[in-house]
Amino acid sequence: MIDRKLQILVVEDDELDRLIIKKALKNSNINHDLHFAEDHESGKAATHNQEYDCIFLYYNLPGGTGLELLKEIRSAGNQSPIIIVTSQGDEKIAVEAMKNGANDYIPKNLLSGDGIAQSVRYMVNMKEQSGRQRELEMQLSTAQNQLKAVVANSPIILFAVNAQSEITLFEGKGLDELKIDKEKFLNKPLAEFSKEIPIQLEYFNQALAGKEVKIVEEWENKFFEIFYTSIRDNSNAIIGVIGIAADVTVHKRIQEQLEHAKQLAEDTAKIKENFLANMSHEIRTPMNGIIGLTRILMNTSLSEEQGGYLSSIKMCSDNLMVIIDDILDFSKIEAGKMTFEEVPFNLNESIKHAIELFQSKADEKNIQLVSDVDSKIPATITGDPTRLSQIINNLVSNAIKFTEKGEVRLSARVIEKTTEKAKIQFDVKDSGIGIPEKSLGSIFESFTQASSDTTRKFGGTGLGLTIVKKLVELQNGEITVKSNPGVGTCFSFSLEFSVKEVIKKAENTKIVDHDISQLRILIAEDNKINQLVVRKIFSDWKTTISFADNGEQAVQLAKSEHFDLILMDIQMPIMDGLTASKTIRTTLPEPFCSVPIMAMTAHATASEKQKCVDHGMNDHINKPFDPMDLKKKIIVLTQTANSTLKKVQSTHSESKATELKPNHTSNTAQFSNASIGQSAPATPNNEAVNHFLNAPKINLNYLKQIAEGNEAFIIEMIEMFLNKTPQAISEMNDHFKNKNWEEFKKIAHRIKPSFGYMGMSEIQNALSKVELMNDKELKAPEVDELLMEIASRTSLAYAQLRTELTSLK
Amino acid sequence: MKVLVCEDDEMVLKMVEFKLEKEGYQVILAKDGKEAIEKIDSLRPDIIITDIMMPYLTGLEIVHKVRKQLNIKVPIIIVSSIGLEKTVLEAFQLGADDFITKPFSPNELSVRVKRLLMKSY
Repeated sequence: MIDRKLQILVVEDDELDRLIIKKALKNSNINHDLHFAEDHESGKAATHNQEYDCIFLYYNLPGGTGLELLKEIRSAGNQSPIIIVTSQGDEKIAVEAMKNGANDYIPKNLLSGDGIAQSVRYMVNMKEQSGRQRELEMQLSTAQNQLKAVVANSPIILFAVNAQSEITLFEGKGLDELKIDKEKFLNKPLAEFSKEIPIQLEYFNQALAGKEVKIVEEWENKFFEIFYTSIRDNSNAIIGVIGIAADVTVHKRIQEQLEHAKQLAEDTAKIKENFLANMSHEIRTPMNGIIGLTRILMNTSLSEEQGGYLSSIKMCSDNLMVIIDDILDFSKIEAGKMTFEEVPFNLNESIKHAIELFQSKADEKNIQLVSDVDSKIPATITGDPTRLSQIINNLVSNAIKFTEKGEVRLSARVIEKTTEKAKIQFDVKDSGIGIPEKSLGSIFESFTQASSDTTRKFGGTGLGLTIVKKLVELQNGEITVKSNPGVGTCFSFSLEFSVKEVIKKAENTKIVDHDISQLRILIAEDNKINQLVVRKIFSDWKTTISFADNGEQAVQLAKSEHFDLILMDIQMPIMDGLTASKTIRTTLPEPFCSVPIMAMTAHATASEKQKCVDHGMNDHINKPFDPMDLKKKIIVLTQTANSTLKKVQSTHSESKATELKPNHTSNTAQFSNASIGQSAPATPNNEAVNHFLNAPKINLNYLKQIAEGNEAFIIEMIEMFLNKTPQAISEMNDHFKNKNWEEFKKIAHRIKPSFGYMGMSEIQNALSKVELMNDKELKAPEVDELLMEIASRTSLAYAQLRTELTSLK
Repeated sequence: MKVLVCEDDEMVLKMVEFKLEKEGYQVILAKDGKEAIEKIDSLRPDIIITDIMMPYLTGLEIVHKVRKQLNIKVPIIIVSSIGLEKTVLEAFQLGADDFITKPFSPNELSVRVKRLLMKSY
């Protein structure tokens, strides 16, 4: 039912007809207002900007036909429903009117109440529906126009492909850029054009299977990021694929430039790193020569004047070495290449070392140099002793430099301790000139000293404290400074050390007097000056040496001659030291392949040292080396420390001395270090004997290494040793006294390994020697002496082993 | 894997036993050559490690007996001392497979054992 009052217009001049329609409308029960127009003109006026719910237009009108008025009403945009009223039999006119925009027609004879009501209702419904449709069409076209505007102006290509792979949409400003004529592709199969446009069938198919694809493709020197996704109908079935291609050429180019820049930066860093490594070697090699030759010259007879000059040369080169070290360390830190070792060491020794190192400088300036070490500090801590010494030496050296009177105090104390870690604070306190407050903040910055005067007056690179700070911070420590100008300065730093590892390091004994003259040593070194230095050092010790100019020569010599040790430079022409060592270890026959090899390295990092070990080398020494350090390491590696043994060797088995096989219980340098403590003194005077008696006799590192934490095994082994050795020794001595040489040698042979297990390798070696002696050799008084020594040492070891047992239990 | 170790010094024996057991071997110990031969015959180890100098039967005699009397192809490692290279050669001629020089490192021994076992299987 229609509720509102309908507006109805009747265009007709005939009074009767008007009355008929008026009556019919009245009878139709339609609520309405009736308007009349009687001719063409008034009809036109009545429909001007005025919509009606229904217009009855009579065909015959004064001033023109109804058809003409109909055309005019429609062309004026009036959409009111129009019913043409015709005379009976005028269907032709009705059809013509309908063609020209009339909505219906009604013959005059049907203008009854029911007929007209039906027609009006139909018109009203139709008007409402078409109104809604027009509204929807309007909304749709607005949306389409908006989308078109967006697509047309975006630098993208929007395309759609239906399930039959036909391109149904191809739009976007991106097409203009590519000069693609979209008309050519629309409604054509995609497959035909995959070479002409950047849309790949492969990705389309993936999207059609329901997968979202996002790829970047190059097309005509441009890069497009193309996104394919499926479109679905109401029942969620895939009916096609829609794709968006965006021109990302600019982004891509920027990305490429960035990558190029990054690569360049990385390459540069690598070049810089290589440069540093090479410089390190290149600078050190001549310095090695200068320092080495200076040391040698100092041992020759010189006039006082010459001695003075030489001291100056030595001081200058030492200083230069410090500066080179500083610069290299600084560069290393800057390049992020600084690495730290984790090795067990004795802190007391490190501090004692630092004090010894600077004692003469302090004496020269007449200032006190004292150390103060907390007794709570564990005997062995794990960390990087070299870097710690570097930090301490730098601070102590600075303190002495800036102090004129009073004292420099180096102290260390535990500030935090758990079962696994200990945090240790180190203070270096002086009574020197102090640092003005305004300079305190920048004291750790590069190239900064308290004043520009300072540089002139005191020298130095100004890098020392920067390096110290970095070295502390890279090990997660902290460093602070407090100063009072004129009163003194105190640098404090704290570092954390692991205390888990409790390897008791043997004490160093004096090695100066040891004789290594019977050794034959091969030196692989390409630098002639370094060869000269080494030649001189060994000539003082009367050691027989041979030179190889490169790794290949070293391998050749090691193959044809027996050597007790090879000193191997790492950087050499033709074949480097690492390769040479590996070649010796893997290709030479016994016994040549098991010769101890010591690397000579310039400033080796932890990883370089590891490399040496990995290539089968036993130890390493930094160039330029202190001759005493070298000798110490040689003794350890060749195990020739025991004077009595040597006497035996030299008098009775001269020929066999060179065949002495190194004790290869372990190939690592770390382990061979552990046996330093077993060295005995050279001269058998009382002092030396006392020293000898006090020296540690046992070393359980090897046993512990094998046990891997199984203490019961260690206990069992020690108990076994304590139970059976006394009897074996006494039996052996009995046989010796009774000149039962064979029985004597059998026992020596049998018990020898047990001494090795207890770390008494000098006894083990001694037994190996006597085991091979002939009857005549055994009769020598030295053997008697040796056996007594073995017996006395063994009995001393019992006490130590019992102590170990108690602590283990 | 059964390893027979023949060695007259009990500390060496203990050390080798500990090391090899840790490596997962079943270790059969023999204090002299006689015991070794008995155990080799009855327990049929997968590998034999024997010292040369031993009471009753030497290492060489053990090699000889294993190869000629018991007729077993089991790998044999001879433990020799420095200066006994001639004996080692003799042992090889009798059919030993490898040798290790005293004082040896248990690690080296375990490597040699592993290598021989890999060869024979």
